Amino acid sequence: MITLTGVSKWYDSGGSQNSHRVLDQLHLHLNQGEFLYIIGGTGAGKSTLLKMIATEDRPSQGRVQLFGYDLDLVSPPTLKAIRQVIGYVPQDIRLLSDFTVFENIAVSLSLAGKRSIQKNAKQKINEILEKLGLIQKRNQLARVLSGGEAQKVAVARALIRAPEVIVADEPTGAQDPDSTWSLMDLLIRANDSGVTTLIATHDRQIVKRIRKSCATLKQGRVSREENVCFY
Amino acid sequence: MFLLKLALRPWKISPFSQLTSILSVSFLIYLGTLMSWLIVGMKPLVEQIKSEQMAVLYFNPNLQDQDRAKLTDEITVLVGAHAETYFVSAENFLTELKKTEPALVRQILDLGDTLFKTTNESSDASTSMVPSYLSVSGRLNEDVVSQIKKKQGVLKVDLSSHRYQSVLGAFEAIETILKALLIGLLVALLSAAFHLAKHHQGFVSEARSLLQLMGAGEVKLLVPHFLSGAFIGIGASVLTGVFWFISAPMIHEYLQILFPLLKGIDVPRLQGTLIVCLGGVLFALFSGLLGAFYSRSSKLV
Repeated sequence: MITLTGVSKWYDSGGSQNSHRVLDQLHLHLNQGEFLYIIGGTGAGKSTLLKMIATEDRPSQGRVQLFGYDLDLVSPPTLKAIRQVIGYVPQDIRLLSDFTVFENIAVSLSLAGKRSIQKNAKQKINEILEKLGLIQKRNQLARVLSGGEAQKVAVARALIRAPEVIVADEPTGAQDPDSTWSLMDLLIRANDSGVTTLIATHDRQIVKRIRKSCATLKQGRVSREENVCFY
Repeated sequence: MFLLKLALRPWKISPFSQLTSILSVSFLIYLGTLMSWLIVGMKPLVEQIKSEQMAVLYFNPNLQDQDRAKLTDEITVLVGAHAETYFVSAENFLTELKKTEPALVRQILDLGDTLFKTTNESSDASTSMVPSYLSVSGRLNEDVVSQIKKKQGVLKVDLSSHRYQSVLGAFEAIETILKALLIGLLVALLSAAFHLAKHHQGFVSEARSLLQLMGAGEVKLLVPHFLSGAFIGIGASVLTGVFWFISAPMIHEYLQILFPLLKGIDVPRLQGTLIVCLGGVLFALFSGLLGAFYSRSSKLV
């Protein structure tokens, strides 16, 4: 379902000798319905890796394949269709600041690939807001939300479209312990229903408590541990 | 609905810049239309001045009344339907002149009396001193004028063609200045459209990349950019239309004061309103398409 082959990523900072290599000949494969933590220190390349899987960035070298399609060769309509089945929670959240909480989630739902998902939109949005304790804030503008609340909306925005893949970059970074577990609960339930889930995290508590497979990024390379995570 | 909300973002964030943009664009369209209309409106007038002439044909004072009437008929037939003739006898001329210049008339008559008493050639001083003339106004070509000159009994033909040379020169100069200003206005409009497109791009670029990541298609991504540019043009279209409709009679009045020769030109009130509105709509389309074009430059990798 998700295959990265020999993926390298570097950023030029003036001349080829000064380029900064973030990922180096990375190989990774995920089957449908798998759950994988992406862990590693600051600057290890977790966000870069997730951005490539979420189709936001391209590798400098190597291939990224989603649903069997090589992202370098895919046509614009197919790329659009792929994006419609990905639920992405970026590290910087990126809500539409002048839209309400409800509208932010509704926009994501309206762009979802399957028409059937868009039925009973209002009810579905209210349900997910209820689960995340945000129902009272549904008509508030996104710009007045706290960091934690905004993060919950970003997760709700990703989950509401019933995606086939969830790519979440530090989705609990700004949460208190209770909110962390309720958010993780939603993500685990999504995974249980067959959604392939990738989560980049710094939080050792989560990794220890919810035992899943793990990919550790170190010096641009990845080492994978199945069903266990020594972090 | 959310695309419309994104398109209206510039109004929410900086309403004054949007309003001043509408005012500027509207003013430029208004002035541009006014100048175009002046250039177009002046053309037939200039042509008319070029082709229309006033000719004064002085008859020999010794001509008998019946010969003079015959000559008048011949000339009237010669100039045809393109010109009008008007006969002025010496007596009529002096009667009219007496109303405004009685002293001058007295001097003419006295001079005539003195001259003709000594020579005994005529007792009617007025007709001898002041010849009768035929005033011809209309389109006169050179052929007709030369034929008239050759007629026996016609003393002299005075043509007005040289009189309007300075007026024609002034009109040509005005036309050139108007054309230069019009080009300047078009460049200013073009520049406004480019700046607006760039300005609006900044308001929605982050939303654009987010929507693209969610799987929005190219058309959906272009809509906010297109609309935010188009709103300025539509606003300008309405404002200019209203302003033209209200001000058209005033412009007409001012133009008549400034150039009495332009009296014949009508300021088209409804037609002009439609034209300025169309100008605004064209600007809306151009500005919108430019915005859509710029939005493509901020797309994801």
